[in-house]
Amino acid sequence: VLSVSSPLQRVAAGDSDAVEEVLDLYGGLVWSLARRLAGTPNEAEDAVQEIFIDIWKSAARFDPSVASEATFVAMIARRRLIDRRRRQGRHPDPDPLPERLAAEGRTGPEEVEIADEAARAAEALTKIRPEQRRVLELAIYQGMTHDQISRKIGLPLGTVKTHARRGLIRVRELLEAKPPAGREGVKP
Amino acid sequence: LLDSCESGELDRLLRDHPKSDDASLDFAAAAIDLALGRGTLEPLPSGLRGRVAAEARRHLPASVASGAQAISPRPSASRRIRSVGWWAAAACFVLAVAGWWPHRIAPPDRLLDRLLVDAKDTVRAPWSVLAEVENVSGDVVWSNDRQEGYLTFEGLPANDPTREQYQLWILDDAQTHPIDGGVFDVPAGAGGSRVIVPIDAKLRVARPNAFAITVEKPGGVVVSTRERLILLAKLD
Repeated sequence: VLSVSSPLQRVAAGDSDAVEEVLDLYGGLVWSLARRLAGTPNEAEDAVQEIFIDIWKSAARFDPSVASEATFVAMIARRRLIDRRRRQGRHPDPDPLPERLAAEGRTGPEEVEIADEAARAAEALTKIRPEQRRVLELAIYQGMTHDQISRKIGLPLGTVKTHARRGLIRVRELLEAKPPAGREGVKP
Repeated sequence: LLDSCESGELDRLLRDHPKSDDASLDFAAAAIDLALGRGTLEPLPSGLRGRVAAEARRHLPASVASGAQAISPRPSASRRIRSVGWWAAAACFVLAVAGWWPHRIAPPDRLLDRLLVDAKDTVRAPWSVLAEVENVSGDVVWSNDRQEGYLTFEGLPANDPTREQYQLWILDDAQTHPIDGGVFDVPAGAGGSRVIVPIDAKLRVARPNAFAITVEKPGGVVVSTRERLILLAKLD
């Protein structure tokens, strides 16, 4: 009998009780990703159900020596959401309306507990070039295509692609510089 | 297309980083997403959670069967307990559907009334005419807790959806850019009368400060030219 402790590993072992634990830990993460990248609320609900089916099927591939559970779950979710958007061919991110309509004095979101990689990714983002960070924010967080980013920030498409790839490689290098920690949950 | 300098840069990156196409970049992107999304997580809705949990039980045995590791399952509950679990899951599913179905098929005026009664955090802002239309009144009602809201218009002209549609933008202090609130039509027979439109926000709305209506091509746009910004409702 293999000793298992992580919720995903127990899911892979067929432990139905671990399903609830995974939903406790990562339900909010998956739902928030879907709300941001899936389009309408109905599409987000469909996407969440597809994502969790992927997670249950992929649980046996989770390797804590490679990444934390939160990052593993987020990667599966993002792959599914990106695939859905490619199939639908619609990108929801709008360009700003006139600045006079924009609010002032924005403050950052409330800090919550995040996975170890996320904390180190946040640190890594401070160590890459500002233009690379801007491109990664638009591409990864806001889900914009390289073409949309090119039009938005006025850089040639090839430059945007280079910034995105170079920035991502650099972040990966910074993440790989330290071994990932054990499982850490992400709670809403 | 890349210019020669950019092509050279990409070639160099691909040569120096042969692992660039493997899963490690996906992990890096996921970690960045987690980092940028700190503080914006919201709970999984309970009805959806029930459906996900019920569905999970169909896939767990497959995971075991296809898993590469020979992991013995933990001592399992008895079949009777599992059966109870199935019935509970089924009951949750029925309740979830029962809770969802009437909500989705009710007309917008009833949904708006229900929101005003049930939600404790609704905010309301009247429309101001900016351009192109005249004598349009009405307001926006929005609940952050429920992520639900409705636009009410009186006097908004009917549109030809084959030529143009109205599009809502939600300005949110928590977002860098306005949120796409979806496109909608005013049918020919309804032009000038009272029209209620459900808000279809593409992202979670956290701190809204204004709602704006533009006229766009059919299907709406990702990038608005802002040339036909016709209505604005600002929250106090």
